[in-house]
Amino acid sequence: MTMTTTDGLIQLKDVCLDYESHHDRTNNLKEFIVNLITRRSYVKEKLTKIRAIDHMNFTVQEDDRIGIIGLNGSGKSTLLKVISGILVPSAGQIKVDGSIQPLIEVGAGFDAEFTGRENIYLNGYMLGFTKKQLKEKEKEIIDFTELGEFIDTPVKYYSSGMTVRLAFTIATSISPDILIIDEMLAAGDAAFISKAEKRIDHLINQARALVIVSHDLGFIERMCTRTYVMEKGKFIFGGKTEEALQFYKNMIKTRQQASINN
Amino acid sequence: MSFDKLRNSVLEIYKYRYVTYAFVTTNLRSRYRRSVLGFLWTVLAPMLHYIIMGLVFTVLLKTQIENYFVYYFSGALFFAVVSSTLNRAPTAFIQNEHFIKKIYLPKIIFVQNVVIYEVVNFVLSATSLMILGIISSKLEFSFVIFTSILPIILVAIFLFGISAMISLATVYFRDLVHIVPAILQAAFFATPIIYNKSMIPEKYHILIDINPLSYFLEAFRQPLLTNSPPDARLLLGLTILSLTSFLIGFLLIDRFQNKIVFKL
Repeated sequence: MTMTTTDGLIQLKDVCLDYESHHDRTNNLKEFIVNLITRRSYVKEKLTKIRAIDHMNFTVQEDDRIGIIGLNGSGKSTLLKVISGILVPSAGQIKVDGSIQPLIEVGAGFDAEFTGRENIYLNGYMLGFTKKQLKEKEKEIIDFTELGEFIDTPVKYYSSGMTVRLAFTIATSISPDILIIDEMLAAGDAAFISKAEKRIDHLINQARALVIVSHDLGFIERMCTRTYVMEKGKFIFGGKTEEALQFYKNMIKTRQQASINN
Repeated sequence: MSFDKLRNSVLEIYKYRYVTYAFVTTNLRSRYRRSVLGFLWTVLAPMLHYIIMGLVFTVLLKTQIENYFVYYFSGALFFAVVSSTLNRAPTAFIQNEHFIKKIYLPKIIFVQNVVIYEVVNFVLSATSLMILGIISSKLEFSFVIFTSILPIILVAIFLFGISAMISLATVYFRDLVHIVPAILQAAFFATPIIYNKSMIPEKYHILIDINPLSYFLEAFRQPLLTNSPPDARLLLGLTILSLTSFLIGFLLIDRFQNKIVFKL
């Protein structure tokens, strides 16, 4: 793994992130008080921690095009959430230099009761746009989504394809320094996907750095120069994209064979 | 907490001010467009309620309180903004789980949305109701009426702090969603809204005296009822109380805002 010591746009130093597992946990005042009175301790036995990011060191430099791949539950999305500031690490340090735009999940800033147009504003403000910027972009966004008169219908009546189109377009109207993409073209028809890919390409070309999480290995191969394979909250491989993809494919193959043999 | 950190928190809230703006205006619009009469209904319905209560107490129960219509109207109106804000406070974070988990926002925004929406709503309906009161000559118009804006600003600041505490606590204790409305029901009767203090036995006066809402109400009601501005010492006391509540709520959210996401 190549690790540079100079300051990058994103720098993670020994970062850990723990989730508390709370399927069993008391989450109400009544039980809390009953437990307090009866002196029954409930916290200790039921609180288990799950380490989603495990002592990670990671630097993103100017012009980096980084891909992150790994099986489900390996911590990829959590890592992106840490980088974007949605989750604060349990330990370690993170430094981000420049504006950052996570495309974590399309429609993240949507209120289903609001109309498409109202959501352009609500979502846009949440992404840090100002009123003036949104006024300028409004028409372009509506045109690109091809929603037509549906733009003034509450989002709850949209099909999932329509929602994705709108959310995707809003999210991709900002041009950040650091672009973070998490598996986002899940829905939408073929015609829109090809249109969307062009838009992403444009966005990527403008960004100073890019971090992508995807199961679409073709997309990673096309976009990324450097790729990491993640497992159990750690990078188990890092290097040129073609090497990483090869490593990942071999890893899956070995796993499959192992499970067949069992 | 260092001063720099506090300053950054405040700047960040300012940066996302449009989120609250969009949330409040859009919700107001969708609230009032639901029916043809829209806004009118939200004024007519409470007015009908005040007239009925006024008639019951003056005609049937022959209350001793002077100008009971204004007395009850000002009390009920005041309590409406308190209860609607605090009833929505417990779900401020829980209901916005999908935002909190997927997008970075200062968490206090969600509390701010609730308080500002309810206060704006209150100002709209209170203004129209007061105009109706003046037209029907139940309420005497004078410029002194405008001094009741002060206690409303103060109660809004107070509610902000309390809402912040409640919404944070509910993330850890979900049953507060059910407990808060029950407490508010009790608070309604522990505040002199339908009765006045002299009507109840002296040994229960303590319930009113320890209830901060009764002081806010007193300050709000005075200009409407007696045509004199609220007592300056009372206002000073309320200012201290509101700012304390605000500060505690603000600092608590600032302290816990990174932990909320793991508990949702």
